[in-house]
Amino acid sequence: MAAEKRICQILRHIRLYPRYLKQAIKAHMEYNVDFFMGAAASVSGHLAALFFLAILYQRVPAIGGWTQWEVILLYGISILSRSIASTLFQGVWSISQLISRGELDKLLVRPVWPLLQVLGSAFGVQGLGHLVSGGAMVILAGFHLGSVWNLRGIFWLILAVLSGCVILISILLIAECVSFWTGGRQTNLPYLAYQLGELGRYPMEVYPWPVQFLITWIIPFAFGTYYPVAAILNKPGAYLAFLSPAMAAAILVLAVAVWRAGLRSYSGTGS
Amino acid sequence: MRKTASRSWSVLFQKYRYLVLVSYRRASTYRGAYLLSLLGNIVRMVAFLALWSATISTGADRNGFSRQSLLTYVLLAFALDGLLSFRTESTIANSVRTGDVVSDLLKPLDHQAMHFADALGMVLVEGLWLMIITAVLGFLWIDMIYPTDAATIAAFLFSVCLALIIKFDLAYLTGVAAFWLTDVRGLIVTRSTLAGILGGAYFPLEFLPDTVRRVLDLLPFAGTTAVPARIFTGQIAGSAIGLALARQLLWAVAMWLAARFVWKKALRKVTIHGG
Repeated sequence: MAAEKRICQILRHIRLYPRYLKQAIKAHMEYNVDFFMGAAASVSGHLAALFFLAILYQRVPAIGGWTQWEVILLYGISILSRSIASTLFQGVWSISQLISRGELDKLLVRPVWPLLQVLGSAFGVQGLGHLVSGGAMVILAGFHLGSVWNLRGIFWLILAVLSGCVILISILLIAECVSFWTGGRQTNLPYLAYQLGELGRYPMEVYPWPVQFLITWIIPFAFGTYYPVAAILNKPGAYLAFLSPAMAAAILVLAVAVWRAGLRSYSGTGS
Repeated sequence: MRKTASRSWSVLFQKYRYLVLVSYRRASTYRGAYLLSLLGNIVRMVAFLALWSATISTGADRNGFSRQSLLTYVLLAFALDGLLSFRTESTIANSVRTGDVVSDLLKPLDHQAMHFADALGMVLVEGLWLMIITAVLGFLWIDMIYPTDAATIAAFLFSVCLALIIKFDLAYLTGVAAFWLTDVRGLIVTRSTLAGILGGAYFPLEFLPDTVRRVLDLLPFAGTTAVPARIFTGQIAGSAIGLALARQLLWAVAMWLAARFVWKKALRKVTIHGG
């Protein structure tokens, strides 16, 4: 009976989530020009990255054993997971602001899970830019490399995108939750984590071991990008790819635990 | 008459110097946060240096760069890119969005100079740390090359100052764009990417086709990173330094005046809205 109730509750929340997002998108659409400007900004950033890769590969056939198309595949898959993160869960970035403005209280009194309300409270237009650029890169690189568009390749691709998204959101959630203990003061931890995540877009073989260790075991971005893609391309890092979903699940559990602990210690700001 | 003029100049100077100090102190207060973001920068620097070093072997020559000078360039470009980060443009854009810009206008200060003083205070903090990081990474890891004669060092430092002015004005213009746009975040990102590529912050402009490079050398962006980094690595040497600095100086002045002009234009818009 209790389980049934629980399932009903979960279903209700799943149905509610798109509505939250719809409101966020509406708010964004109010400013048409900016809407496309945001998407264009992310596309231009990725074009710049492709340009950077072209320059990097000007005189060398492979870097760390990866050809240019292989890196484009890696890059494309990693921004595809970002596209899901910023379109569906952009709200994660607003936590510290909600705390410092005392607006979190408003969410806590509603009969809907606060985390869900927070995550669905914003829509990141740049996610559309990530989607278009990432999609184009993966499709083109896939055809160029030839070994991607089969059952095994698609399996790892989906796994990479999903675990990459979960890992990114979880890390951002943890970083944002730090504001619970700084009295709502914004830290630049989330931005920092986001930036470090970008390192997962390049072949890890070339990094010195501390950097490899950092993005594998401390902030495990590489499990959402590098390792699964290494599995598609049969690279040396492939042996860790099977850990990706486990790592994603583990960090998600950790992130939710941190969020809960944060809420418990939260007492509101102001009088 | 002359005496009062010089006195008011010194008062004015005092005011802006004080602004620099305030901004410096504020930046130092958030030392923890800043050091953390610096840590992120270090990791990125290390990663990208490793990426570059995988593309060039010892003794190789790539478009006039040896392995040493290429890695030094990349390290320096990273450091210069870290100076004067997003704060100027987002502060101005936010003040326009929230209407706080009105309180800026009430101050008996020049808006542009005020924000420049604010940016400089931040640069003092950023510059110090970036210098330490660059030196540590440069000497302990990549065996960096560096200028040894006083003239080149002086030219490099002067070039960095001009680069700061140009960078500031690019940021200032982007921030002022908020008068016409409701949300400048997209513009800020695009601006910094574009200026980074065209200015040689992501890779040396020498790696581009010769004609493209020559055009880019004429644009203001090269003055933000490429010129000081080239002077440091010896890509520009001898009499070419003078020419490069002159061009940079010209752009610094032109950009300052252009930013001023656009600000005046923007102000007229405020009055219209305010009715």
